[in-house]
Amino acid sequence: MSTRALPPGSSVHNRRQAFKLGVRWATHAPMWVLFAGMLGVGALGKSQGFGDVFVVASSFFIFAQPGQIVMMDMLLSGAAAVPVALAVALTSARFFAMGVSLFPLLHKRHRTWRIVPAAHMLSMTTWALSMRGFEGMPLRHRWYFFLGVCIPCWVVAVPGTWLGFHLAGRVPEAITLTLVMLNPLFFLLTFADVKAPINRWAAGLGALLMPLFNAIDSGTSLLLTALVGGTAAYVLQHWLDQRGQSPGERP
Amino acid sequence: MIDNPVSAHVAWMALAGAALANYACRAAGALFSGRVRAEGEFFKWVTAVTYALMAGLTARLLLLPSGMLGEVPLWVRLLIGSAAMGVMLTNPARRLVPALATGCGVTLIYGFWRSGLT
Repeated sequence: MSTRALPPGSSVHNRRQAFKLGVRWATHAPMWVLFAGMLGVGALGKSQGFGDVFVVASSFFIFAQPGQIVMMDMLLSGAAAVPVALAVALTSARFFAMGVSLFPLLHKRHRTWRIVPAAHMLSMTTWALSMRGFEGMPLRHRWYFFLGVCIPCWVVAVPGTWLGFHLAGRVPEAITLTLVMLNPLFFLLTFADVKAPINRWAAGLGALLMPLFNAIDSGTSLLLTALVGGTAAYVLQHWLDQRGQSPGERP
Repeated sequence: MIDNPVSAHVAWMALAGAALANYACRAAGALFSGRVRAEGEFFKWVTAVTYALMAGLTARLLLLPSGMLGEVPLWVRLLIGSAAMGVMLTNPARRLVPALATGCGVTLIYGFWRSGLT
């Protein structure tokens, strides 16, 4: 007799169960991790001298911690609005890939105009939970599961940011410092699990090039670092791939 | 907290542009879902550029910080990052929360120690 566990989505029999399962998954841990990250965004924004309305608006309209922090960091470095928008677009490119891979898994009657505004709630967390939850789940219930996952995560973003902003400076300095440190630490740790060599080289080159470009011109340094470091990694990988396919090379 | 030299006009323009750019990527993913594949050379290059951008940003936040982090000595920032990364590398797929907690714990200890000196 097989002891292989059934996919969690197979236990869902109607849309209400699908929605509640999504909410339960989101509120177990992911929503709180996202909330903590937004606390960090609020605290970081305040430490950099931005106003509370501006920082909270960034969470409402962008809802992506890397993009929000890139924006505030570049503004502080003297970048103009257009380079900021370009850099944020680069950090958001992953959402295109997520949408392309996730939304085809919905029932076709839900793949209508409604997924365009719902895409605003897409994040790394909600994408990963949805991809996992869809396994074994009937197609007609997946849209409601997706909503159950996304709504709690999106709802805590604005209050989390506001709270982080207003806690900073009102709690002991050590706690404010920890809140400010949260997002830089999170970004650092994500590099530990990068698997593709091209992306490892890109990350390494990015870290090495930033101090150099920053010394030349801080306003354009982040974009230059991204384009030069990423392109160099891409070219290096391409060159190695070609070498590996050259005749006479051992497999 | 530092004095922010960015004008309100520039900041809000940047936010509007960033929000539009960010949402355009999301909406494009929804609109083109089922019609394009997210693999291929262009996306490989974009992903590499994004990793370089995030690594550059992380390097700036930790090595060349402004604001409150700028008041923390470099060796302390490196210690915090190393402690967190040390925990993470024991099992990268499963240690994110303990690693974050470690880094935050070291930061808290430093913060209270520094407060005790002043």
